[in-house]
Amino acid sequence: MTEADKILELKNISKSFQSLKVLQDLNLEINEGEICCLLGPSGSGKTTLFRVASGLEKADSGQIIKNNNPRFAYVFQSPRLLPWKTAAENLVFVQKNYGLEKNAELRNLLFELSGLAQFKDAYPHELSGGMQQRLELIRAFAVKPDLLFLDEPFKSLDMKTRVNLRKLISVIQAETGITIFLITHDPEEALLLADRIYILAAEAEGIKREIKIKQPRDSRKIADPELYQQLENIMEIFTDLVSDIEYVREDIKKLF
Amino acid sequence: MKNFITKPFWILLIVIFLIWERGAAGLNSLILPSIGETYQALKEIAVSGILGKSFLITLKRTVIAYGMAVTAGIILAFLLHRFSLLQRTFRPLITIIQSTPPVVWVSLAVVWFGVADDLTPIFLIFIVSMPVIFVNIYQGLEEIDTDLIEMARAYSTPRFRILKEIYLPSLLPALVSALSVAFAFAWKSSVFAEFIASSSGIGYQLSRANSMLATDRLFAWTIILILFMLFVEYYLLEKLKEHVSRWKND
Repeated sequence: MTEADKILELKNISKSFQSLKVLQDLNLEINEGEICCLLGPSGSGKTTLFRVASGLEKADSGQIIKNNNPRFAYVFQSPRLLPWKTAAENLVFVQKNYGLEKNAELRNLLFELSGLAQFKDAYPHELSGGMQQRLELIRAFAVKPDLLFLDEPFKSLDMKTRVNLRKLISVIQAETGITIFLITHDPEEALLLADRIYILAAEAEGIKREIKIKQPRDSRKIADPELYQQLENIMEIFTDLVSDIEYVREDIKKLF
Repeated sequence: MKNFITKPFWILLIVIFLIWERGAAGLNSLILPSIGETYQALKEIAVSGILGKSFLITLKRTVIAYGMAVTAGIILAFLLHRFSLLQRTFRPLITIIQSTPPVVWVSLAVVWFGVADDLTPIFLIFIVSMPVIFVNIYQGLEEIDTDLIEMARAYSTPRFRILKEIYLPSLLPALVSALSVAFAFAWKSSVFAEFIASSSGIGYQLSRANSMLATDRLFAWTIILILFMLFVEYYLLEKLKEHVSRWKND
């Protein structure tokens, strides 16, 4: 991998909140045109890493190298839509910052792809949770980003909406080559979408493992033996991360 | 006006009128004038031109002082929200101003400005309405969704657009409520100050009617005051409220 292929590099990143160390000397790189996934259990510092990598928060120490000044876009855990603007106006709001507000064709295409074509003039409170999250996602694509940050975008969505959104992301990414940095706690989601998965260890121990997925995204199925094996491996790492519970078996027996 | 013109309200109004007319029939008109006598007094002050002249004087004072109070309240709220030193210094002072009874301010205004026609009402309106605006806007600023500001900044939105397209709409519900409450305070303060220390305006006319025991005129002027307040609250401010409610969930 050459330097030019890396869109974002994080070197020796540390971040603490008061006395709590969340990230410690963490190294990570995101290559241009890939879907890179950060997988980790709750409380492992995923969102902190998302915020530091995307520039929303400053690291205490370390270096963040952006190559070719990439344009960032964001999808937050819960949608951050302007409630006083319609769906279309929410897209225009961010597009204006990049001189794209006149590109109604792009907006129409995104509304069409996301199944929100009938809701362009609806206010966010008139949309369901899943629709709001879809709107948040197409708002991010509407600025034609080089690097899209997704912070657990499917967290509170039902299975059907998750599958639809995953498909939407996958298709747009395949056709545009936009780099995506996806944060999730769901190994299946990571395996189905990512080209590369970083597994984040708990308690600021850094990246536990890096997994590359070679199968084409379109034909991936969790039941596929190779992918299933990867899932088993990830589950094993996850089990290791929470293995402390084994030590208290005796206490549980005694106290219950 | 649709929130105002409701069937139950009209029924209540008819009941009030019936009680009024019935009460007036058995009482001296010095104590309770009839609807007809009040209408007659209203006609007299309207035809003589006193109504128009006095109304415009009171309105002019109210608009000037209310405008000043709104501007100062908003600027102060932004400054105190932005600078914590200013907040710690001036916040208690505003609470003190707010909790001081209007009669104290009028008494002080008379001492400071004399029986000055415009200054006393303007001073009282300002000092009474400004804290209302300030408190509402300050509270609105404290409650602004910082996630939206962060999102806008993340997408490189210029500061002016954040102010115009996030701060302003976020503050609109608080602003509408502040404008409504403060206007009621301003209108009443204006009349009160004119009643005590002025030789013109509706308050002065009320004071004259009172000293001449012209209860019918007192009623006539009171009706004018109420009608104007209702016009502002249910027509002018209603337009703003409708604008806000378009995107509000509740």
